[in-house]
Amino acid sequence: MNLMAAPLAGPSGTAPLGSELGRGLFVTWVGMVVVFSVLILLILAMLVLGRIFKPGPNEEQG
Amino acid sequence: MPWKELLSGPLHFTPGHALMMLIGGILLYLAIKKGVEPVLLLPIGLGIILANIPLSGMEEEGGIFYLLKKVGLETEVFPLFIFIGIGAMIDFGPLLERPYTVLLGAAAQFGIFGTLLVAVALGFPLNEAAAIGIIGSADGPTSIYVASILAPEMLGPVAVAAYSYMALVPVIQPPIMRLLTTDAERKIRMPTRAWSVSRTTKVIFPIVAVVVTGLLAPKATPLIGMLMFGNLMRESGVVGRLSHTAENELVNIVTIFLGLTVGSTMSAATFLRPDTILIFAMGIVAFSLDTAAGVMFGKAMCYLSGRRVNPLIGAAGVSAFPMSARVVQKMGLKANPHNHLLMHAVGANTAGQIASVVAGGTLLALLAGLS
Repeated sequence: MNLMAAPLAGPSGTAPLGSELGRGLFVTWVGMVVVFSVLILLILAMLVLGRIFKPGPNEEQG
Repeated sequence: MPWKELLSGPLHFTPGHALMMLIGGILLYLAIKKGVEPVLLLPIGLGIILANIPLSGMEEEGGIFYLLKKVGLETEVFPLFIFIGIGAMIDFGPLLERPYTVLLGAAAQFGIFGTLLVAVALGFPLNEAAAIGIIGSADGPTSIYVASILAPEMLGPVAVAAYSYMALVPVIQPPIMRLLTTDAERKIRMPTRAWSVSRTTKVIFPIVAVVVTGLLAPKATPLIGMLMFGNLMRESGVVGRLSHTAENELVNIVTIFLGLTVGSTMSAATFLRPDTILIFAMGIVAFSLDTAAGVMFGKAMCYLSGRRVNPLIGAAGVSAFPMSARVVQKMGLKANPHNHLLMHAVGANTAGQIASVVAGGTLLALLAGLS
């Protein structure tokens, strides 16, 4: 099944449920992967920056 | 005859209008008497009543609701303005000091996608299912932003469901948290000390967040951009006046107009449909799945870390800020009076704020790609 080629919108029931579920699973899988990837990359970048810019002696400790 | 003009209002008044006015009245009651999200539900409640007065002309071209909808919702500027204020309010310090909490914020977004799947299984087309799923972002402006693009006709019920369930987080979350954790797990103590983070790191964080998120999920850039703009004003410390205005006057003014405009979209014709009941029912599904996914991921982290992570903090990955963090703190203290989970939960909570924006942007990108 070509997920990209299937029509998206339309009143309920115009597209076969199987294809909608398939596209829903695709969106879920890719969506969760993107969310985890972005957040992990972001925090890794901040960990590196945190090592470079260490708190000064007068800064509040966590 | 002049009396015909005077009677035109009552003659056009239908039971549907009356029912919608009753719903508006219930929201006003909840806001004023029960204190449920009054800042939003009060303007939404009165907006509903005004929108269901026949022949008022407020929704017709040139009317105030028409103009507010055109300027604020169809352009998506209202939720974006609110995000500037939210950014100015949030301290991302607890997240930066406890980096592992970022995973809990990401995991809790499963509520969005899980609800999308349930909605598809119930027969909703994918764009409408995604608009329903975004209730699980537990974040009003993100819900409004995404729903107004994917399914504008669902904006009213989605917005009201999002704000209502956020107010109900202290009711929805605890039973799920109790069900998925053991007494021993809830008693796990976590250290109160964390990594120290410099002010420079806090100032750089919003800039890095915009670049990383923007490059990997470009459709999330407007939301994350405004959120981090507000945060940069806060953390830079050089524009105190602007930061203060963003988190007070700006948010207050836009909230007034956003609430009224969302209420005005809820006319009898658009709201009184069987789908509306399903949307509200799936709002609970979304918040429950968010909480369950966060707690289950917290359990996984608990076992992988040798029981050094209390799985309760996973529930705070829901971005309902700061209610879910408070719920975690309360449950942690109940299990162990010496257990202070608040800062860990706030870390997960702020991670959830970013994660929900990324999830919203990802939904927009994926659905645009599939259309």
